[in-house]
Amino acid sequence: MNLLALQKVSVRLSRFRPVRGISVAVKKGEFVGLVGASGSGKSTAAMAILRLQDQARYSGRILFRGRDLLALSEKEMQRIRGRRIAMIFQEPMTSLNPLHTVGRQIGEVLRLHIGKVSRQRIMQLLQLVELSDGDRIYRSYPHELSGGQRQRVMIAMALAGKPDLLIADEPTTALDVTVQAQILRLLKKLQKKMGLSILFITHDLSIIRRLADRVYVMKYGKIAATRIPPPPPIQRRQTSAGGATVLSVRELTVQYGQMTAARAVSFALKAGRTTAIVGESGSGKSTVARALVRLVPAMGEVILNGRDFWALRGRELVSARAGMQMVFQDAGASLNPRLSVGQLIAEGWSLLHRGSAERAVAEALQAVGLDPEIMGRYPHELSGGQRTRVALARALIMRPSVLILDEVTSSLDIRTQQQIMDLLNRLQAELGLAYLFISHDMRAVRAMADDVLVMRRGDVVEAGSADQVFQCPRHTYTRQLLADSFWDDGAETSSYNSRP
Amino acid sequence: MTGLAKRRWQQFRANRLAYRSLLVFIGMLLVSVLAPILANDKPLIVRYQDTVYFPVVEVVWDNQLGGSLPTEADYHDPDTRRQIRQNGWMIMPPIPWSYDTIDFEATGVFPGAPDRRHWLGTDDQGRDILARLLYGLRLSLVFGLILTVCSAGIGIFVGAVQGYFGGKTDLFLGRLLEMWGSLPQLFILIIVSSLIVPGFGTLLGVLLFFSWTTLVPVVRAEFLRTRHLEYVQAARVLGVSDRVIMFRHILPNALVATIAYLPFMMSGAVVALSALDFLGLGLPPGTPSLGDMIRQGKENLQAPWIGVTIFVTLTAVLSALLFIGEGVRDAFDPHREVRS
Repeated sequence: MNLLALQKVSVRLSRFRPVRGISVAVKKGEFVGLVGASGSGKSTAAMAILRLQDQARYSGRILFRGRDLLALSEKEMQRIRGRRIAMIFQEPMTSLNPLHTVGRQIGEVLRLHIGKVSRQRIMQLLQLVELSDGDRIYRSYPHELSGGQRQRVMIAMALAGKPDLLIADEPTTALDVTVQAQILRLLKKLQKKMGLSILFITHDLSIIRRLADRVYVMKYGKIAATRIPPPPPIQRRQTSAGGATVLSVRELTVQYGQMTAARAVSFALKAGRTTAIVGESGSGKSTVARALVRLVPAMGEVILNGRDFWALRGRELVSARAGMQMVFQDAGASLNPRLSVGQLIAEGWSLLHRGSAERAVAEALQAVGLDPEIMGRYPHELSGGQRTRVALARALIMRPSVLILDEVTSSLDIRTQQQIMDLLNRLQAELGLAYLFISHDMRAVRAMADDVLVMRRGDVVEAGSADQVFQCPRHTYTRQLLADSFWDDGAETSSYNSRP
Repeated sequence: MTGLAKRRWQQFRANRLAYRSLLVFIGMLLVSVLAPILANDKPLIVRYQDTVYFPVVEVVWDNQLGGSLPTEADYHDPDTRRQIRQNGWMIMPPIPWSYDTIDFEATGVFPGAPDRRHWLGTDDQGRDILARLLYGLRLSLVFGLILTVCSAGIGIFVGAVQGYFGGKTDLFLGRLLEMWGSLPQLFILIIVSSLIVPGFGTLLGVLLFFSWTTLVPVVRAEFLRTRHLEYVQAARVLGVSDRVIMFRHILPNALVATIAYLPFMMSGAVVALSALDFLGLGLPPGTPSLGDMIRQGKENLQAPWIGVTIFVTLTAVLSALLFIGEGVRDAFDPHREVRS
């Protein structure tokens, strides 16, 4: 029998209908995935189960152990929430009270659901979520914990009421790949050990593939599919020999007060070749990119097209800047919402040229595969892929020799990602661009890079050709990174995975 | 109008109190700006023999209108009136008194109660209260507008510099503002007005000296926040200059945050000017100002029409500005959704 069954559930929020007649079932002890892009209605559907949105109007039936949750009074609902059905969210920091210790907050939940609190029970819960240093965690405040630890505390709090069903709304999206893999393993283990049913909501197909017993894919508020396609094969890039050296970086070091964000990073970049910097967030890879374009002060030497880039001032700097352009992580955020596409792309061009930029802008748009008609539109009217292309066109119009790509593919869905990478490879072949490709996505790196630098906590721990780094990684950290990144991927995993 | 601006305007209109206050305020502004046409002791048009004169905008001499004096004509003089009536005609404004016209023909004592000759009565020097009110309102509103615009301009500029460059600039300007804020405003005003007789310009300057700091923290915070946004960084990578980044990429965001302050700043300016005039530290004696009328109201409690008039007017102006300010603030608050 189903523990939870949504039958033709629709949700109306003022004028919108984010959920349109979906049916989802979760059996006892089952791990069910609810997958969809942002805006597909998956989170609204999850919140509907607990009736968390005040203004929402529901229709259909949500049966939990045979009782219709939509027919219950608010008081009866209170007894379901947290006790029978628990929920964990994306950002644990905002769900935890910064003024109380972890022990006290878990105790609070216990008092609410069970009625009696004991230190022993709290320690058991911390143990259950595999927080090894239980005593210290018990006394810690949320800000003293890492992201992964906080998420474990949230899970402990969710489990305090011994729920039958755990709804996990993107619980690992804000975490690094390796931490994410650990949390996912924990959830899977809890499912097995406690017979817990889990409804796991995510936008990331790759992490759900291995975990879930069954999957629902949502699109525009409806269930579009109940299985997901196999992962695309990992592409290996045809390595190119490359031309002259256009950028050489020596002993680049970035210091933020006492902390060293990047330590003695050195590499050279040839025309037509791609160097990737990989690492988790906080590894210093984006700091290197920002230091190169002089957004953050740094020590070391950067030679761009034969000139000492960091020593330049005034007019010389403006013209030299054109030679090294950057596309930012979040293309949407890097486009001023008040300017039209045409104005955005023309801005840099007008620094170096006089007259009307219209023709140059049209050419740049065509080069990135966009219709020049798009010029009059504003960023919010574009799709994620189009925004990335606009950001790319803005960089290309400067005719750079080096292009820094900071996590350009990470916020895109898989198909758009592939299109952008194809476009980047084509542009490189046509224009002889040198790329500095910064990413935490090993699959994208495999498809793009000739050389790879692996960074961890500001240090370059491994550097070499892409083939060497991927096939026989020397550093243990690289091995772990590869293992966790290809975790869901049967064929490649076995050769990388160093752990059971 | 972009979608966002349109939505904000709709939200402002949906607030009926604020919207009506805006209409009332615009009405008061128009009426007071037209004061020289509505209330004047000179006729709008005079036809004398075959010549047409516009005395409101030109000087017409007494001897041009059949008199004998080489001075400007006095249209309340019975001789002049008779001359004009015999040789042509004239149209007087609806209120045939200016702010400084003394009614020599009035019967009874000053201040005189409202009657058909003086709709709101006269003050203790025999001047028409309605005329003085219109001119006083014009002076206060214009003063308030200029002071607000100038303070906002300087404040936005300083805040922009402080927030955009941050670091040492921020530290230095921040301390400077703290010292500035601890200057004793009233004492300095008393000293200034005892050294010189302050006119419109000097008063504006002195008040500006203190009020420009109002917006600095708001704009600074907005610039501090926005300068780290990716689109600002992206512009920097392109090589766009600091000046262009500040004005093109950051300022529009900062302006949104300041707009809600403007009505409150303006009501503060009106109050400040009235208070100074009331204390006798403001504009020179004889100037039609709201503060001077309050003083008259206080000194002539037996003539309640003075006090009541100025009380109603000031209440209306300040409430309208307050309600407009609240409406604007709510319309620009991103946390409030349009409820349809």
